[in-house]
Formats: sequence, C-alpha cells, structure tokens
Amino acid sequence: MLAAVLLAVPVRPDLEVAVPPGSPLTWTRSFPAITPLPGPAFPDRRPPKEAEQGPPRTEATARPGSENAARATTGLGLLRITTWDLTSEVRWVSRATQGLGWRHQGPMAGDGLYWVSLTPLLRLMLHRALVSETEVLAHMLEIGDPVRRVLDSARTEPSLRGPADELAERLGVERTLVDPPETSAQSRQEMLLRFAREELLRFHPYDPEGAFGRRLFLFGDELERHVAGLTRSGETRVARNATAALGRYATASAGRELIRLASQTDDDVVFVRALAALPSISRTVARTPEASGTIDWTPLEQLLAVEEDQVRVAALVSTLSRAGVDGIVPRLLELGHVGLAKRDGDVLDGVMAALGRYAHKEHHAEVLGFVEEVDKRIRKNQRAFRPDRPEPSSQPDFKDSPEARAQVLLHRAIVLRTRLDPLDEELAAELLALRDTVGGTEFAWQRRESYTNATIRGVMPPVRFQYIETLPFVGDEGFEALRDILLEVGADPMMRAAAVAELPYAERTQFALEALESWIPGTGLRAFALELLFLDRDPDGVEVAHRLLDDLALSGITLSPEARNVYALALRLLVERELAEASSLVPLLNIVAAGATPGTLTDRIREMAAQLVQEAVVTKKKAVVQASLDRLLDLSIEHSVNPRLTPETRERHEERIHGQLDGLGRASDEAYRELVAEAILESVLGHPVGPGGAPTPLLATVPLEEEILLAVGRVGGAAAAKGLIRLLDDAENPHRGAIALALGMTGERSAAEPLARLLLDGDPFVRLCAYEGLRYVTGEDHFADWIGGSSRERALSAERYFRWAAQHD
Amino acid sequence: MGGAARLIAASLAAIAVACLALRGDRGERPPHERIDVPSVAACGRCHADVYREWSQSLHARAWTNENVLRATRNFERESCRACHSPLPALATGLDRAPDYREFNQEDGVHCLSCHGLPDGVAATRTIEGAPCRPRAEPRLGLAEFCFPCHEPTHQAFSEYAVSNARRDGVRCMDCHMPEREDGSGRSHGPHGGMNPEFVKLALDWDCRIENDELVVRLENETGHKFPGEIPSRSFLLKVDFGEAGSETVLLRKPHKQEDREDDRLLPDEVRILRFALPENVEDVRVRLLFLPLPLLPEEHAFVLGEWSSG
Repeated sequence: MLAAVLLAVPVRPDLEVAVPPGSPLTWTRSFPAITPLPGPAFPDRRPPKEAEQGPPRTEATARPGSENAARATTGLGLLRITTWDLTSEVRWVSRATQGLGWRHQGPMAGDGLYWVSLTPLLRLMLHRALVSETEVLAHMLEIGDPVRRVLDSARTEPSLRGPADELAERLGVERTLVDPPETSAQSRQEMLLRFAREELLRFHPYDPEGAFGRRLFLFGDELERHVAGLTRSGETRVARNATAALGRYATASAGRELIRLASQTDDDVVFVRALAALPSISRTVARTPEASGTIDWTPLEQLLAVEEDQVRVAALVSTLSRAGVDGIVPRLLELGHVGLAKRDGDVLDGVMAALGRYAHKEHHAEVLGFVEEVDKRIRKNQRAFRPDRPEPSSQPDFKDSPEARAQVLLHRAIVLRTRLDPLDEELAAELLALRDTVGGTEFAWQRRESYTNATIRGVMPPVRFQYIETLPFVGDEGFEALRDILLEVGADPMMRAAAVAELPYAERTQFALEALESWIPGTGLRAFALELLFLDRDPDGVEVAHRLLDDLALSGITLSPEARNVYALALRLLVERELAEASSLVPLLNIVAAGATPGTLTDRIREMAAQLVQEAVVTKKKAVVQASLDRLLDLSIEHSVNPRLTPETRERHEERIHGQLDGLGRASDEAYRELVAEAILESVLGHPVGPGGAPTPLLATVPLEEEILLAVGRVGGAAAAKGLIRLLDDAENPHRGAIALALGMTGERSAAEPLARLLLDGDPFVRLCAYEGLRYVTGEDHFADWIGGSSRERALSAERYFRWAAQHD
Repeated sequence: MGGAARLIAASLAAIAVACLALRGDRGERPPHERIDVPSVAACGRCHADVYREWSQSLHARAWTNENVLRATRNFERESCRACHSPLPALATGLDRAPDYREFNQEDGVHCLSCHGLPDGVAATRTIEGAPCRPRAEPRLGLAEFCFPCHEPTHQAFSEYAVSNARRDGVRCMDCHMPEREDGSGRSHGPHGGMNPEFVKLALDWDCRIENDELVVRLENETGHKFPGEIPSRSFLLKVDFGEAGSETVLLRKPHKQEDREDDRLLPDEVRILRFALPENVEDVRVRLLFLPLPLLPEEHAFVLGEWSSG
C-alpha cells in the first residue's frame, strides 16, 4: 500500500490552437448569422398611393471581399482547436453545456458559444506573436458577456491576467429587467417593440449554434426602427444585442444609426458591435447612394483623430479602412509612426493592414516612406517587435519563434510595397516567394493548422487575405499563384474563396459553376460560388439557382447546415432579384410540411441501409445491390454526414460495406440482417449508433424553412396561398408563425379566414404573425395586444377580422 | 481405376465434402480465415450477441474513433498501428506486439485478432463440427493474453504486474470482461474507461475536515494506474471553497515528450490530499470527475463522487 501527501501541482500540458487568417476583428464575419430578407415584410402589390414609396431595395453589386468569403455553416468553423486535451489540461477551463464538436475544426466540445469565448484567449496565450492583443480584446468585446465564463478562470493564467482583467472591466455588468411589463401593450408599435425586445434576448447574437433573429428577421426591414430604438435601451443586454441585430440590416439607415451609436456610446461592446457591421453595410449601399442615401463617416473620422483608447482605436482603424474611408490615411500614418517609435507591434500591424486596403493615389509617397522605414527597422532587429508578455504556463506543441511578429510585419510590408509599386519586379518576386518562405527557422505555425494550406504556407496567417488580394498586382505569376491556392483541395476554404474572388471573371465563373456541380462537402465553397455568380451578374447563376431549387424539391429531406445554407442562399438571391416563380417555390412547401430536422437524414440513411441489406439477401444481383449502395453513399457524401466519407474515401467505404454484406445469405434471420444494417449505418455515419455512442455534431441553425416561406409569400398568388393554407392543417408544425406571415404576404383574400382563426392560437408569436398578415390582406387594423394582452380583447378583435373574411369571401 | 487411385479419389471427394460442409451457403472460406472481412460478416452471423457487445466496445473502434485518429495523426504514427489493427495475437505470441493487419483496419480489434488460430479459433472449449472450429486454448484465460496490445505503448501490464490484483490472481478479464449472468460466457462489451458505472468502481474515496484542512483520501482499486493507459483520460478533483476560490488537482498520464510528471494513482495506492481551508470558509464542496475523453466539458464528465462539508 502506498500513501503520499500531495499538494495541488501546477499543470504544464501541451496545447494547440490554430490561428485563422486575417485580423481578429474579422473572425466574427465568418460566424453563422441569420439576416433579414431585405425590404419590407409585406410587398406593395397595390397601385401606389400618391408618392408613398419606401426606398427601393439596394442590390449587392460588390464582389464579396475576401474577408466575407465562405461564411461558415458549422459553428466551430473558426475555432480550430487542434489539440484534444483542453479540459483535461488547462485548469482554468470553465463550464460548458451540451453539444459536441465537428470534425477537424474542433474536438468534442461544449456549446459553441463557450468555445467561441475560449478560443481567442487560447490564441492570445499560445500565439501572442501572431495576433494583436488589442484586436483580440476587441473581438472578445464584440462577443460580449459570454466571455465572462472563461475570464475568472483565465485570470489564473499569468499570461492572460492582464487581458482578462481588462476585459472584465470593459464588459461591465449587463442590466436587464427580470420581469416583463404587467400591462398590455396599448398600441401596435408598443407591441412590436416588446416583441423585438424579447427576440433580442432569446438567443445570443454570436452563438454559432443559436438562432438569433430567426423570428425577428422574418419581418424584413419592418422592425429595423424598433431595433434601432432598442439600441438606446437602459437594459444593457438589450442595447448590445440590438446593436448586433441592427448590423444585420443591409440598409443605409442602419449604417447611419450604427455610426451614431459608435460615435456616442461609452459601452465598449456596443462600440465594437456597431463598427463591426459597417464595412459590409457600406459595400451594400455604396452603389446606390441616390436611392438609399449615403453614409457619412465624419463622426467616426473625427473620433479616430482624438481617440486614445487603444482597443477602440484598433476597432476604428479596422472598420474605417475596410469601408474604404480614405480620409483617415494621414491619421493612420501618424499612428503608425508612433507605433514604430514605441516598437508596438499591435499598432503597426493594425495600421499596416489598414493601409493595405487603399489604392493610395493621394498619399503614395508618405505611405511608401513609412512602410520602407518599417521594413528597414524590422530587418535590423527582428526581435525588437516581439510582444512583451509573461510566458504562458502552457505551451503549444511548437512555439512561435522570437521573430514571428517581425515576420508578420515584414510580410505586411512586402504586400504593401507591392501594392504601392506593382511594376517593381524585385518586389513582385519577393511577394511570390513568400508562399514558400520558411525564413531562418521553420515556422512552427505551419505545422499546426487544420488545413494543409501548402500553397500559401509561407505567408503568415494574419497577412494571408491581403496577400491573396495583392497577387493580381504582379500579373500572370500572381494569377498562377491564385490558381494554385484555389486548386489545393485541402486548403482553407476561406483562402480558396479569397483566391477565386481575385481571378478574372471568366475563370471565377468557371470555378463557381464547377464547384456547384461537383462540390466537396465541408468546404462551404458552394454557397460562395453561388453568391459570386450573382454578384457578377452571370446569367448562369440564375439557372443554377433554379436548378438547386428543383433539387431541393426532389430531395424531400433535410440536410446538413452547409447544404441548407446553399439552398437558402439560392432562394434569397432569386427573391431579392424578383426572379423566383411560384411554380418552383410552391413544391418546396413540402419541406416545411415535413417539419424535418437533421435527425431525419439519419433516419433516411438508416432506411437505406436496411434496404441495401434486404436487396443483398433477396436479389443477389450485384448490379442491384451496387445501385443501392451507390445511392446510399451518394446521399451520405452529398450531405456530409461523415467527414471521413468523401469522394476520395468512397471506394474504401464501399469495400467495407461489401465486406459487411458478405455474411448475408437467404438463411440470414431478421436479427442478423438488423445487425448488418446497423454495422453499415455506423460505417456510413462514422460513429456508433447505439445509446450513448452517437456524437451530436455542432449544427448551425439555417432557417431554410423560413426562407422557403418568405419566398412563397413574396411571390404570392392563389397557388401560393393555397399551399400555405394547407400547411396550417398541421397544428404541430413548428413554423406556423412564419407560415402565417407568409400567407399574409400573399395578399390573397382567401388568406383572411385561416389567418383570423390563427388569432385565437395558443402561441403568441403565431397570433402576432396572423395579425400582421391580416392588416396587410384586409387593409384594416384591429389592434389587440396579440402577444400579452387579454384573451377577451383578442377575441373581440379577431371577431372583426372574421367578419371581414365572411364579407369578402 | 486401381486401388491407390480410388483411395486418392475418395480422399479428395471426402475433402471436398468436408470443405463444402465448412463453407457457408455462399461458398465462403471458413470463418477462421476471414479476418479480412468485417467482424459482422466473419463471426456475427452465428455470434450475434457477442458481436453486438463487441460493437459497442472500444475494441471495435480501435481504428476509427476520433480520439485515436487525432492522437496518432491518422495513424501516421506507425508504432500505434499493430495494436489498433492487429492480426491474430496468438500467432505471434503473448510476449510481443501482434503483427499489423494492413487491411480491414476499420474493424479495429477484430474477433479473430484475439480468437484467430491458423486452423480454427481459440475458445474456452473444443466443439467438434462447429463451422469455425473452436478449440480450447488455455492462453485465452491468462492475464498475459492482454499483454501484446496493452503493454508495448500503454504499459498497462507492467503496472498490473506489481499490483495486488496480480498477487491475488485477479486477471484483466475478471474485471473488464465479466461473466454474463446467464453463464453464457464473458461479456465483450464496453467495460472500461468509457463506461461511467464501471469507472466508479475504480476509486474508493472519502473526505473530511481535520483541523483547518480538507483531507481527501483516494484509493486506487484497480490493478493498474488510474486513470488507465492513455493520456486522453484524466481524473479531476475539484474543491470549491465558495467565494474564497477553488482548487483543482488533475491526474493524467503525460504525452510523449511532454514535460510533465506522471502523477496518476499507482495500483492500490492510497493518496492523501490536503487543502488548507481559507479563512471564514464554512462550506466546502468536492467533486471527483473522470474525463474519458479530452476536451470533454465537466458537464459531460463521469461524476465519480461528490461531497459537501455542509
């Protein structure tokens, strides 16, 4: 018997987390996010009265910036925790809730929001040289309160104590009313405001699995002003979430409001959230200033001129430069010179990244002088710019070299100088050589990524997007390099998307069409490809989108988030351009009727496995069995049910399944056949199917059913109304609120009576949607507080709508 | 035809008949030769219950489970391959790692990895006429039977070798493959680190407040270190002093080249942990957690026990 007295010992585990490309301030741009369908909730089908017309919908005509490329449809897309040992190793990892990880992007995990909060801290801890601390802090402020879950614990880590304390102080305390108001809303506006408030609190805006805005954004731009109003709420959480929600509206009015907010608020979370959305809004509205109004950046330019808080400065610099506000270039140079004098690598990195976003016709000489100075200083002493932070108590598998930060800045300098002087052949050669450069020592970060990235491995991750954007500057060789990146199947899909966006029109169109035909699951490139075709106004885009909808109608089952995202995008793109037709949309209502969930796909595969077994026993015809197996594998690969089942590994899986079928014969009893079917199912899914065995992948919420409903409602017509009314027969369908809204959107009189019935529904949201629909259909407003008011008042108002329906039948 | 020729012909015919008898109704090879075929087909036809148990175990997943794939970088680490996709261990002997089975790896530890013999299958008894030719193989019942795979990189056997279990004749399978209640043999199911109820049996413990200290006693009831075998398993002791803070003790096997002490409980070890009570703390809570997989949040950990001073 052994006994020992042992005190608590510190742990020194191995850890690793990858650093995604680009700036920390853009990391959230790839989180899944539900957005409103642009325009009013209810289309104006009647002859215009007087001159009362709202602003026309803006069209997104800008190419997607590389930082917006390939929005992840799986919540852990950017976490890239490449070690498995986190909660076992790091003492300060705190609580999390249900949900498990998603292939290479994350191991088994807690809820997505937990990991989203933790990962930036891990990057700061393990790869301080590769990320700007101020930008990471800004990124975490953007996420907001959930970050607290890790801060208390992170404080025990010496290298994170400072940032953790700073974050805690900046986050402050979120004040929220505990009890809802007791009185009924007295007006429609008050009711809608309360609804908006509740929706803003239902989910967290940065939860990669959450459904933030799923119901709120069904109303299109209708509730934008309510959301804007709530940004001024005394309830901190409401105000913060309203800011995040406002950022999802692609309107100039939202942009203006966000600028006002950012320039006036003391709340750092509101500040960063307001700024984060502005670049994409500005791109959307920039092309139609005469229709949608302009965005005046002056308040933010003025703020940048005087702001001293480094986190705020970093956020301002990033936003204004990404929005292309070139008036800030002198201020950038000023900040850059100060950063250079102080050897502040964070400031330099932010400034140089910002400068890399302009064409610099006006300040060419000053920018060139600055960047040459940076280049000279760095080459003279590469370790001078190393961030000064305590050593972490946990180390990555491969530590960053002491020169890593200097290398980031050097790469930025090379990129910037090339942009300033694209005809300089030496610079071009230096730029191209970066891809394969390993420097004096092999950079450890190259070996720890989730993707192969062989074609861009020499470029430091923070610089990769700008590097790709700069390659066209150096001519044919640059385009060759872009093609290499694009064609590397194992590369980061965001890199590939960024590369394709820079190719000439004909090439990127060709790639997009190929990607849409023979896509590789798990890349997110199909959605990007579709978006690209529409942004390039390629006529094939419309045809492809229609074909996708036909496929969707035939598939009849629900799909992986990635696939759902593609279909939802196809619908959205067609509806925005008024190219959708009822004949192709109404059949999609079957998908809404099915109320399908991702679990349905597993059931379908299970059925197919059982069928395959049956055929192997009964028919014995190889061709029949093979055809059945092909269908099973086709479906599984198409919907990414198993990250290890891909077109490349298909043959191996096929071989295995044939082996599993090998024991079947006519005499095989039912129990054995079930056993074989289960074994096949497990092979296909890649995980056990018994109790306690199946991991639940982290799933982003993609509101495909709502997109279908909104599209049908927008298109309108009698057939649409009929299809929607039929859906209401199912009292259990979880989408009844959206169905009611869509039905109202059709404007058909036949919608009145079924909507009036829904006014008496037990679900307040259904009642609200029915009421909004009835206002539109009937032109009459019989207000009651449909969400929280008395049933008697609701019944009285409902009666008035019933009467209308009867009179207009 | 002469006598010798008739004899030869008859022998051949007899052999042919015997072969036909051995084949399944689809004309296959005998089961003991079918390690290249998934276990469900090789053995599951006749041994459905055992197959079902096995399919829930980590043996069935030895090659495909994500934890292993990550830890070995998709088996780039060659030293891991043989034990995670072994050829019959009895063929190579119990004193060394088995040979690597470089086909049908997805079956992991295949039925025939343990039961395969050149001319039949290893069993607890000989059954004449059975298709897979089971014959009594005494080595199946030895603790050493687990050595080939569980010793070379996991050192489980060396740990066991110095344990009371070994001294008392308790074998690996006595705990990890318990007899079925119906007496039909040993369970091939998941009796290991992925089974919460099973893991609870591994540790005896208690807590008390003594003077100004919390005293926690941990006793390893297994015949090997706890947590066992692989660095992905960890034991977490969490002591919560309320507002005064908390303490955590983590026991885990270090990774290769990791600069970390192997602080796991030794076989049969009793370890006393003492935590000074902060001032004015009246309520102390202790949780004993087992994390069978890395990156598992505490909410998913196996709770081996909880204690409160209040």
